[in-house]
Amino acid sequence: MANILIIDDDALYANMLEQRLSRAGHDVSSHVGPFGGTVAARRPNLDLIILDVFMPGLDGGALLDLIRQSSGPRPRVILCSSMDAAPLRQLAMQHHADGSIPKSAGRQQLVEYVDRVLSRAAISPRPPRP
Amino acid sequence: MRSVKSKLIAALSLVVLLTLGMAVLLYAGSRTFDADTRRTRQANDDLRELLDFSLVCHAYMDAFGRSLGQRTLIANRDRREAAAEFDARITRVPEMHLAGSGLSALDWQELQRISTRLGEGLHAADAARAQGDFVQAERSFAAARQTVFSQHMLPWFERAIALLRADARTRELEALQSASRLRLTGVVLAFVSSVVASLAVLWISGSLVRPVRALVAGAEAVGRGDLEHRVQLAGQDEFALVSESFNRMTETIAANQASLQLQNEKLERTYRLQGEFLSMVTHELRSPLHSIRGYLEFIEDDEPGLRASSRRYLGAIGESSERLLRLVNDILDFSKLEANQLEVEARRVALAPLLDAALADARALLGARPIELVLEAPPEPIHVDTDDARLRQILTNLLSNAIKFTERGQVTLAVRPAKDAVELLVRDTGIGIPEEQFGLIFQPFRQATSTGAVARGGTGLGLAIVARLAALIGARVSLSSELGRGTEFTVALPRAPSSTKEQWPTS
Repeated sequence: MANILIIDDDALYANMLEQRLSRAGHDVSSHVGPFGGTVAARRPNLDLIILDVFMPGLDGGALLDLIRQSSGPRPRVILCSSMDAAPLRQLAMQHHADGSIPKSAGRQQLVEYVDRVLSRAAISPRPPRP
Repeated sequence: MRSVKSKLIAALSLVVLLTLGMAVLLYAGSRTFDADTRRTRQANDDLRELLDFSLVCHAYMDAFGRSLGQRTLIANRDRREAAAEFDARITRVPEMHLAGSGLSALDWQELQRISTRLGEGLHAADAARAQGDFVQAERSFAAARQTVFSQHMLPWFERAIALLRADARTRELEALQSASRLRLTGVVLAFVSSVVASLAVLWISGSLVRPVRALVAGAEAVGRGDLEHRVQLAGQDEFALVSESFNRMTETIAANQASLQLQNEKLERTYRLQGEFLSMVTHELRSPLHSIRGYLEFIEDDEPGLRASSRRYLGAIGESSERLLRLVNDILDFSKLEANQLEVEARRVALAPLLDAALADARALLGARPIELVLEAPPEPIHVDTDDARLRQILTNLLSNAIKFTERGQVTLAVRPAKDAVELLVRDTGIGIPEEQFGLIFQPFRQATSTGAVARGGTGLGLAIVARLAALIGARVSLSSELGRGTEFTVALPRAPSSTKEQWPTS
C-alpha cells in the first residue's frame, strides 16, 4: 500500500487511473492539470507520482524538472502518456524519471509496473543547481 | 558589330592584299631586271660593233696601201670593198645606242670629222697616183695614215672602246644587283607574308577557341551546380551573344531553383506542421479511448449481475473503441512512416513468442466467425535480428487483413526457413485478390475490390503500413493469390545479422 498522486489534465483518465490503483489497494489522489502540480507534489508521505506528459501550458517533463528542483520529500515519478512506449522511455530517461508507462497499458500491466517501481530504490535526487 | 565572319574576312583580305603586294613588287623588280639586262646586251652589242669597225678601218688602210703599190684588179677590188664596208660602218655609228654611255664628249661627229680628214688625205694620195706621181701618192697616204688614222682615229676608237667597256661593265653590275635585289625581295616578302598569314590564323583560331573554351567551362560549372558562374566574353560577336544568352539561361535556372527551393521549404514546413497536427490529434484521440477501456473494466468488475443485453452492448462499446484505437494507431503510424519519423532498433529475438503474440492479436479480431487460426512452425527455435515490435505489427496487420477478407476456413501463419532468409507466410482461404491489383493494394487508402466483395471497413492503411515497415526493417513482401481460393503473403526476413544491420536506418 503506497501513497500515490496522479497529475493529468484529462480528469476522466485521472479518475480511471485513480480507481484502478485504489482497487489494487493503494491510497490514491489525483490532481487535474499541470498548474498547482508542484504544490500537490509537496504533500508529505507521498511515495509515487504518475505524471502525464502532454498537458497544455506546462508539459510533464518541465513539471517533473520543477518538482525535482523544489525542496521537500522526493517521491518516485512515473511518466504516463498516450505516446508510444519507446519515445516515452527515452523522455523519462532524459528527465531522470523513475519509470514510464504508456496509457495503452491494461490494468494488470499498470498495477504490476507500479509495484515494481515502488519496490525499487528511488533514483537519487540530482544535486541542486548552483 | 564585329562578327566572327567579319574577322575571318579581315584576316583573309590581309593575306590576299599581302600576296597581291608581293606579286606587284616582284613584277616591278623583274621589269627592272629585264631593262638592265637589255641595256647590258645593247652595250655589249655596241662594243662589238665598235671593235668590228676599228678592224674594218685597219683593213681599209691596209687595202688602200696595197692598192697604191700594186695597182692590180684584185687590190683595187679589195680596196673598193673595204671602202664600202667603211662607209657602211660609219653611217651606222649614229644608230648605235651610245647616248646612254659616256660618249657624249666623244660623239660620232668627231669621228665623222676625222674620217673626212682621212678621206681628204686618201683623196690626195689617189690624185697623186692618177698623175703618175707614185712617190707623192705614197707620201700622202703615209702622212694621212700617220697623222689622221694613227694619231686621231685609232685613239678615238680606243677611248670609245674603253668607255663602252666600262659602260657595259656598269650595266652588267646593275643587272646583277637588280637580280640579287629581286631574290632578296622575294625571300623577304615570302617570309613576311608567311609570318603575317600565320599570325592571322593564330588570331582567328584564338578568337574562335577562347570563347568556345569559356562557354564550355561555363556549361561545366553550371552542370556542377555552380549557378553563380557567368561567362565573361568581351566584344560584340556571335560568341558574346551566345555567352549573354547562356548567362541569362543560368540566371533563369538560378531563379527557378531558388523559387523551387522556397516552395520546397514551404511544402516541408506545411508537411511538418501537418504531421505534428496529425500526431497531436491522434494522441488526443487515444487518451479518451484508453479511459473508455478502463471504465468498461470497472463495470464488468462491479456489476456481475448485468443483463445479458447490457453485457452485449458493453461488449460492442469495447469492440468499437478497440477498433477506433487501432484506426488511430494506423493513421499515426502511417503519418510517421510517411514523415520518416518512425524509428526501428534491431536486436536478436526469438521468433516463437513473437508469432504467439501476433496470433493472440489476431484471435481478438476473429469474433464469432468460423475461422481456424493455424500456426505452422518447425520445432527448433529460430532467431532473427530485427525490431520485434515492428515485425509483430507487420504480422498482425497481415493476419488482420486475412481475417477481414475471409468468411470461413483457415488463416495460417507459417514459418519457412530458407537459405539466407526466414520466410513468414500468412495464408487465408478468403476471396483472393485479382492479379492486376497486386501493386495497388500496398498503396494507402486502397482495398482490392472484386465482384461480390464489399468494403470491409478499416482505414485501408494496413497493407501500406506493412510495405513501408518491411522496407524499414529490410524485409521483402510478396504475394500470390487465386480469386475465390485465397491469398498468401510472404515476408522474407534477411538472416545474416551483419547485412541486416547495415540495411536498417538507425537513429
